[in-house]
Amino acid sequence: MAVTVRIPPALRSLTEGSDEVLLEAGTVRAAIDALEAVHPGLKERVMSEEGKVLRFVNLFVGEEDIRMLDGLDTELKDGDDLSIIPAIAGGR
Amino acid sequence: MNPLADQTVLLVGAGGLGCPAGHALARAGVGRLVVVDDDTVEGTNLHRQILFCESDIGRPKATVAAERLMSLGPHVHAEARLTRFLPETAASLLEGVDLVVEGSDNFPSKFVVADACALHRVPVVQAGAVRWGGWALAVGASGPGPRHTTCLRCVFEEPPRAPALGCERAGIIGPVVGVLGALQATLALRLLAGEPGGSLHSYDGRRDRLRETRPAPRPRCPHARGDIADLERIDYAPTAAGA
Repeated sequence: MAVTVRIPPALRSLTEGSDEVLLEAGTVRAAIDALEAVHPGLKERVMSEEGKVLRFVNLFVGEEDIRMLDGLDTELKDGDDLSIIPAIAGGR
Repeated sequence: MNPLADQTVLLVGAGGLGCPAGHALARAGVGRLVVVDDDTVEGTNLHRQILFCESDIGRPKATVAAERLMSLGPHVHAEARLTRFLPETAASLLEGVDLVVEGSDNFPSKFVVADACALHRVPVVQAGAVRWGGWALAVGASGPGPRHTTCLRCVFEEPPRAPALGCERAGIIGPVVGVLGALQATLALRLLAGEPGGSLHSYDGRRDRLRETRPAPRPRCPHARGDIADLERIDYAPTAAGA
């Protein structure tokens, strides 16, 4: 499935400034693995060593939080958007 | 009669988020604004903290912010609290408050505010920003228990254990944090008008994108389960909480 992963500004240093990455993946887990293959270092900013999504990171397929779907096993369809939304603390 | 005239908003942090949010809320007619911050104005703040100018350098941010908000008109009453929003100060700071706008720069403070607002059933608008982007979250006053609605712990669960990416390390684009502060004010007005909250907004200033999602409440959120009753028993590590 051809999907678009949307990269937040805070992680674009790992994608050479790209705000989106087009790749082939059938599940969210496969999309993160494919992302890591293209842009090493991104996976550890999204998932723990135990293979779980970091607690302060949110992944959305379209408008849906994957925690409310099937987590990393959530299936992706052609044309889906996968958005990474990490917690950011700054603001002062 | 302006329905906002008898409302009190607590601004946690008079920084890049709190300054534009406070300014917008004062001009919108909020009658009482209480500014919590224990920091002083620095020259490096001036590109984004729009309530301050060069002659304020070295003065307490909360004091200066309250003065500037009061100067906007006789309808605004602003007060300064030169302290931090901590587990031990939360209850007294929330007394008589209708809504909180949180613009601190660290996760422990964000989670202290989120937990205190949940326990005291005070609606809160939280936000964070670095570089070209950020997020804002509108949280209603559902409180703990089975009717709990989406809060910071539903979305981000707990403070990251690694050092957070904040403005000091990553930098911040002044207008980007200004957009998010203005968005916080908009969300605050919507909550004060009776909307339920629960919306998460992410802003990308480089691509000019503002996206709203409505994450469902997390069944395992400690507030949904009633697991948080005493803030002073919670470990808000890894860093000390500050406003």
